[in-house]
Amino acid sequence: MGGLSDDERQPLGGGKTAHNCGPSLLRVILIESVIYLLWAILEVVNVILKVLELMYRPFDACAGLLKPNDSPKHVVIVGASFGGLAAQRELAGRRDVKVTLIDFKSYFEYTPGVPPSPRAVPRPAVGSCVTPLLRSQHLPCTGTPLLREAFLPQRAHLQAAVLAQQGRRTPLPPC
Amino acid sequence: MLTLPPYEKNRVTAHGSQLLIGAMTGATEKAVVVQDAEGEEQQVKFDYLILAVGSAAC
Repeated sequence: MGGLSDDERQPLGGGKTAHNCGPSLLRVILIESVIYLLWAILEVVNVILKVLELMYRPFDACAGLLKPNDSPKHVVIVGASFGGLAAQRELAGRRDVKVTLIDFKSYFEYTPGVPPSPRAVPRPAVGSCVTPLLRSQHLPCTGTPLLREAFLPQRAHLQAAVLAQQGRRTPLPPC
Repeated sequence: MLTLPPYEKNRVTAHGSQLLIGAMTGATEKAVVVQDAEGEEQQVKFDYLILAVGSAAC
């Protein structure tokens, strides 16, 4: 009947297992070796990082000095009249700013039709002491310089710098 | 004339602002000197100073 000879008969499964057993095992061993090598490299890197962390841990306190200071800035407003109250109103509610308003009166008073006098200082001579400080730095000195500049924070900073450049306490004469 | 009721000596106003009743009698580069009604002086340190003392003759 035309049956297959012994040479033509193939075993189930392709009949190549006997010949590919060696290369397959070698491939598996190679892949596992690569995985083990990568794992070993990662372990070495981990150890190096831990050593570096232990080395630089004492410098963490110094690194904190480079961080920005989150403490609120203290803004002092001298004068609680129109300009001072407007500046306080602009700065109120901000978390990065602590505002202190200074005035010699405990109330706000405004008489329409009468030009307001300097309120933040009780003595007339004090106002004449503040004005030369601004004039010496060539700040614009128009009709109402202090009231106008109270609305401008950079001007306020400039005014603080003017006081800083004095380098000493500026005594104000008695009346 | 519009007059508001008086405040206490030191009063924390709305939004956390502090009202200090006194006269500025001096200033340094870091603080202003404030004299209260009893004549007691205290230094108020500042990072920024806003002078809003009103108009003055130039």
